[in-house]
Amino acid sequence: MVLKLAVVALSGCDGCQYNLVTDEFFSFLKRRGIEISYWPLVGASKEFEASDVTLVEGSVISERDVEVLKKARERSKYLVAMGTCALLGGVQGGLGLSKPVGSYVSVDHYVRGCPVTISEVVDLLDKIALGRRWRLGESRFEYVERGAGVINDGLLLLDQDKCIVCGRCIDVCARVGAKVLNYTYRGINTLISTPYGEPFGKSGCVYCGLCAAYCPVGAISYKSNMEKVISEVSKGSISEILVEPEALAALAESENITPLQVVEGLKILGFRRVVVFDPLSQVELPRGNAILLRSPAERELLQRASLGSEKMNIVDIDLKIPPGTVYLTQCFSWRFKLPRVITSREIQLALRRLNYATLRGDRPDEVFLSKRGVRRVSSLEELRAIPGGRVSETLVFELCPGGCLLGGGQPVSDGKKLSKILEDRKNKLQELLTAWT
Amino acid sequence: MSGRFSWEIDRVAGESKVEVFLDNGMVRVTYGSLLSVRGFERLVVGRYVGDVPMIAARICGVCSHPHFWAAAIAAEQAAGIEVSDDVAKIRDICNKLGLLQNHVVHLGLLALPDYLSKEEVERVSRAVLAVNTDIVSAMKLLCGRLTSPNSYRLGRFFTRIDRRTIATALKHLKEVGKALEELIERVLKIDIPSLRDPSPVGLSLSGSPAITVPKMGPYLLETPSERTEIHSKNYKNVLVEASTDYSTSKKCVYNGKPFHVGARARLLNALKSGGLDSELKDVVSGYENLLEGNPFSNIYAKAFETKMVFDLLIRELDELDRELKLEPTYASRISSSGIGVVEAPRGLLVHYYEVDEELRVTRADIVTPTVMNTQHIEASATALVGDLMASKASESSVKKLVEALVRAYDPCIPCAVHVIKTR
Repeated sequence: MVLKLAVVALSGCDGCQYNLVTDEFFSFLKRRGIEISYWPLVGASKEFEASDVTLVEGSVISERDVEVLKKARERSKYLVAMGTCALLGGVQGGLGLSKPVGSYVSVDHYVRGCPVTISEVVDLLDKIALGRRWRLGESRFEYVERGAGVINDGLLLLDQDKCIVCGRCIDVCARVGAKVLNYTYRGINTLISTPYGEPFGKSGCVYCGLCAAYCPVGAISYKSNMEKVISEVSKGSISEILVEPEALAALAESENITPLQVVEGLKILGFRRVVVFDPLSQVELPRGNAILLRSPAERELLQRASLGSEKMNIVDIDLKIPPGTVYLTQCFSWRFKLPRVITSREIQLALRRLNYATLRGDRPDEVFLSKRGVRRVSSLEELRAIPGGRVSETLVFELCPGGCLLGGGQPVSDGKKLSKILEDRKNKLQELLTAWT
Repeated sequence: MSGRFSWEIDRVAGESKVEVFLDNGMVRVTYGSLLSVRGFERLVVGRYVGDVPMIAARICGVCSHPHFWAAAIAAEQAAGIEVSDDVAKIRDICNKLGLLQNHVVHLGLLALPDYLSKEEVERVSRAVLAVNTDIVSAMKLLCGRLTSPNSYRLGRFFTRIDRRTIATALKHLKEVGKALEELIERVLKIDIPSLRDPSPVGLSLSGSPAITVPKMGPYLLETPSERTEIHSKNYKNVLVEASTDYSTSKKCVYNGKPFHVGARARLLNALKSGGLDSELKDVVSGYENLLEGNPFSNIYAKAFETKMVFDLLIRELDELDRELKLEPTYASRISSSGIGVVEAPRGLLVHYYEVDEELRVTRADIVTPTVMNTQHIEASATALVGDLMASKASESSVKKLVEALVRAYDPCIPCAVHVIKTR
């Protein structure tokens, strides 16, 4: 079978396609019987009709780019985001001018790099031509042994073959104070790992889940509960969902709908009762001053942080979920303690199957909010600064930067800066707290 | 005859469009880019000036080397770094390798298909791709890679460059000598269409193409009739840019007139100022009238320049078979601005940066060769279409010849749309 190849350029520098104009690439195309159906740079510019594989270079800035991209998607069997601009928005993405290809159309494969290397493009096309399965984001180095690098303890999974060693997980792990992830080995063998490759639980991980939320390529992930939950909802064995206000605000922001529309969406997914539920509402507030912990992750961290915590009045939340109920939260660490927990990131995909335009909004069946206002503290440093560890007021400790609104199970918000996401989520949260207090 | 027609052009870097307006014998042709503006001049503001070359190289994937070197020279001025003679020589060699690679790809794959049969195009393409492989191998040894070089930080190369590296690069280059000669010979046999240059002013860096990346400023620009020194304070007055409403890139004039930059300007100016060796001078002199008077002749100029740059590279790499001094020196004072002017494959390229006391960029300005050539392309295309209309040529033959003319200039649209839209 002759495979048809198209190369389409959006806004960008043309560097990726220019790098392909080599003897090596054209010889490969000839050897594999791949025919160029559309590639204006090399003169193949007759009307773009249909292709088996389309390599898309550049990012989306203008209406023209959107038009060209959608047309390419419609007419291609496999669409490949080629290079950093197509994959992540590119250098010009730093100004907020451009968006990645995946923001507008579905992408079947991608090739990283600024510019891409020919061998990776050839490898991908070769596999497609031979009808072999090509995993999205296969090994970053052809010559590093594969399959050895998976750290999996059943809750969190780090696939070192997928990892691009960007270091964002190391950064965020250090920021919350856990310091479990770091670099290991040197040169082309550099990996990100837990100490000695031990499972996360044995390495001092607090299961905040931020590493998974911050990983740009999905190398760190957690096993999703969604399939199981949806199946039980359809059987009728689960009928109620407890939703943290922060999770509701985050979902509303990421999907650009109102919290009430999220509530209606959950009901359409099959939950007969939707209850807005702040875990702090279950805590018996002490008479004196105290530190309230928001989730199990904070407890884990505090135990290891040598803060003189024996002098502190620390109040845990001992949450119990009744049978037939699911807990929807921003915080991944609840999955470590409770049996039926789904994160807002997991439910985001299920919600996206709905037509938001038809959602008018629905009120929750019940609302449990925190009983009194307390100051929120979101770093170990702030706690360390308390003289003698004696707090003069009641505090809530949330370890994630930005608090629970940017927790480890946070849903993805396309194309926004983190500060803007936080601001929008704060506004949504304030809006619903004002309405329901 | 009145009316208008427009079409997009392939076999150029980036997407662009030609539009022809006819109004009772009056002809006007515009040439505009269709790519979106990409904001590099704003992107670098606030960044440490030493990071700028790596970012600036991403302006264009086709000619990232000259962007890299122009930004590096400007940044070094601002940071008070002076490079050694050997470093200056090697980065000039890197830029020349980029120029050679660009010319070969342009001639063989983009320009020649306008003149040759399909069978001959296939044969030439195969030869050109083989030549390209060896040139890129030499580039990788010295510059790290073909697009966006990554072997240099301010003042020094950080990859190992020694006698062995130079010898291997030289070996790769020597492999392509024969194939290059055949390509050049084929280009010079082409009969180009006749056209009178409406504005025969070619501007180039004095001393080019023998030197394409000067060690530092001030920079002397030359036309066949005059020389002008440009520096941070006056370059905006010498090269005056303006926006248009039909294109996402700007246009530029010199002394209020359209002008051309690139191989033709460099070669003609070198011929007038005695910058060509006697053997090449004799051959080029035979084409002098064509080069001076016909914009299509840029493909001849590229062929001659390919020969000249190839010979220079062989000689210069041979001369570097010795211990190299690659350590920079640091000045005690830094400057509040820096300007880098280099010769890119398509012509003059200017990068200008202003920095604060912490060497963070406060203002950036880049003038690219395609921006400089655009007005000249439009003037030449207007003259060409005028001639063709007078001889009652069909629309398809007008399109074919205008495309060949535009490709002769080898415009690079990603370079041209690097700026923030100004209105």
